[in-house]
Amino acid sequence: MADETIAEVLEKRGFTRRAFLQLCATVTAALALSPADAAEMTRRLQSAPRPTVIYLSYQECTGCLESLTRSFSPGLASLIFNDISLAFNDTLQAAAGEAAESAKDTAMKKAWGKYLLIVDGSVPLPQNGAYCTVAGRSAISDLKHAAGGAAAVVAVGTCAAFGGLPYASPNPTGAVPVSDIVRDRPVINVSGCPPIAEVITGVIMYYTTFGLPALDRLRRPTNFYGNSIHDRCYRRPFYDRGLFAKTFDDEGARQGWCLFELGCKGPVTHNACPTMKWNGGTSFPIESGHPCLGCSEPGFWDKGGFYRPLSVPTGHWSRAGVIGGAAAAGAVTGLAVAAVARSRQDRAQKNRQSGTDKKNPKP
Amino acid sequence: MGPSDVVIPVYPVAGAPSNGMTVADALIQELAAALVTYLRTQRSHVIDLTCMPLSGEDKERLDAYLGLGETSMDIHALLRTRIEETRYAGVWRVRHYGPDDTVQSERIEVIDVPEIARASTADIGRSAQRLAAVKGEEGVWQTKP
Amino acid sequence: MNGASLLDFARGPGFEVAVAMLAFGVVWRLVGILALRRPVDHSEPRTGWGWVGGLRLVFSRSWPRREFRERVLHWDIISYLFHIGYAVAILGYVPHILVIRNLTGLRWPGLPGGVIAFFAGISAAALLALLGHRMSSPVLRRLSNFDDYFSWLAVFAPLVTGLMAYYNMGDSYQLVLGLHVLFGDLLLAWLPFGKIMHVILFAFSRATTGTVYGRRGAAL
Repeated sequence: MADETIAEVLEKRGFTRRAFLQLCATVTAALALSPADAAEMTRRLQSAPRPTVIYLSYQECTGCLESLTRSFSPGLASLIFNDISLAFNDTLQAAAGEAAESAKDTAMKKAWGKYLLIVDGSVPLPQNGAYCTVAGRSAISDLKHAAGGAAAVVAVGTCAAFGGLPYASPNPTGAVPVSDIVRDRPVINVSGCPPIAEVITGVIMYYTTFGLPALDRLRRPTNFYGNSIHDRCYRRPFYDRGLFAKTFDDEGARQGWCLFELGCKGPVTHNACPTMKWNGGTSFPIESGHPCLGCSEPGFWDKGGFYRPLSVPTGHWSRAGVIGGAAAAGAVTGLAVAAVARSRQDRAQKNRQSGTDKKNPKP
Repeated sequence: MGPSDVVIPVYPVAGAPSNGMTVADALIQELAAALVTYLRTQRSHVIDLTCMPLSGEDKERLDAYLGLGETSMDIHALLRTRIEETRYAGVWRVRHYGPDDTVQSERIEVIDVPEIARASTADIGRSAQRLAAVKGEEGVWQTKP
Repeated sequence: MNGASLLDFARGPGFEVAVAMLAFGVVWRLVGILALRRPVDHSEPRTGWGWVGGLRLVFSRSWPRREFRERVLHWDIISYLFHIGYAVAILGYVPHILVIRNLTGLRWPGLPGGVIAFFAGISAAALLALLGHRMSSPVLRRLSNFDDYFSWLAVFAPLVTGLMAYYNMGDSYQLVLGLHVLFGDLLLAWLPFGKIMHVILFAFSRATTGTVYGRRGAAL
């Protein structure tokens, strides 16, 4: 099974080579590869064995899988994902209970050392991982075992990549991202809440043909996470011209002005939303009139508020209280200092009058 | 035949604004150069428009420049693919559509026939087998008197 | 510390502490100075309108006297370029206005980013020229101490990091932005304790001098 190529899988299903070329064209388009790289990918895909993907879910909401399988044009995504490569996913498969667990073991054994492990969701550490168990096994031990046979691990979604919602303050379950646990295998973070479906499939295809993609500091593929939302945003000219929507229903909002004042985190968020867009290229949040939440960045839940502008101070301290309190303390200090200075002035004055000023003795 | 012998005139469409260089203009130049290269070396060239940040105006200009040629084809395989020759022989537009008719990939190819339109040797081989099998059975060929 | 946590700190606790230090320091120094005992001037006042001289000096000191003009006018102009550019960048840029609105509730319309970058660029160039002047002029060099150079840095650092953030220079935008906000915090916190306090004290010192001289009938 591991030696079967993608082209052969398509052939078996009765498609001609055209189907394979269509697949290549759409995948390279989604990856935004250069013409030379696209040609190279097509060449390599002909001989590349179809990838075995094992998809494990821990502390997650299944939104990532929803993004992947319920996208507007499920044809391609589901083809690559469900039909070609997916060997195990407990949410999508029909089997349940012990049958499901044995299916997982079989799939892992078959491709041990070669499969691509996709992890969705964060993993809690305390109490021996008791806050998240699947089939009586803690997520932490399950993940360690599965990662042992993986060629690489893809952390899908911000929970798996950076901890996400479970990790948000106060992190009651002690959740950690996958990269905190898997240290001896390459980890690719495909962050987002959820990630764009085409990005997930794109990363799988890229890995199948070229191996590990170039990663940024947060281990995200630079193909998709190389630019900030702000840099690719079609509303950027309005930011540069200083034109901002101030509420969700003012003239500026209607004119499509920049959403910075409404809390847009685009300047510090790296993702492919402005170029790849969502729902089969329909739009992305900013295009729909909502500021970017920054969902592909670590700790995006705890950035001081989704609707608070990026430049504005965070924290829930009382502005008047802190400034007033500091000013009052300043006044007290000032008065005390002045009192000391005054008494010194008085003493100097007295000394001068009595002629005992040693510094400036009277002639 | 040197490149200087090959003259492929590209006339801008009358009425189009000529204020500076647009993305469409740049693409036309690239295509003109690619045609010359193809004639000399048979090397095909592909421009992927899918992720190119083309404005509506750019797209209109490009459509107006390239126009529609004599040939068009539809492929119904895994996806639906529409192939259209432009006014310039050897310049093709290839669009792949998803199940919901959204464009999944859009490219301009400079080649005699787009690769995807050709029947591959492997597919022809399989066809030969299948046809032979049909012939071997009590197929249409033998029932005819 | 990475860019994200730096930015979180600079926008959060860092900013809070900086604003508290600003309020504390400004009030301390103002109260401390204003509550000092004024020396009694026993001389006969030449005029009863000494305070007019004080008011005049606040403005007249903003331009060099005729006698010195030839020697210092160009440095005054460069200094003005810095001050005006800095003020435009602080008060005209929308992200800055939002900070002020968050603190005070006040707001006003902002300027386009290109205009801000232009003024900030001029301001930065003028600051560099002024530093060069300070270090090369023998008199100014002797007059300068740590306060002068540290205050220069506290003013320059947010300006140059802000420009870097605007033009997306540097490895990570978040890191540059975090540094910008952090240096902004530093400027606010340092303002009352060094020579930058002149932004408030200049009016008081000029008015005091002007009043004393005005009372004595000196030419202002």
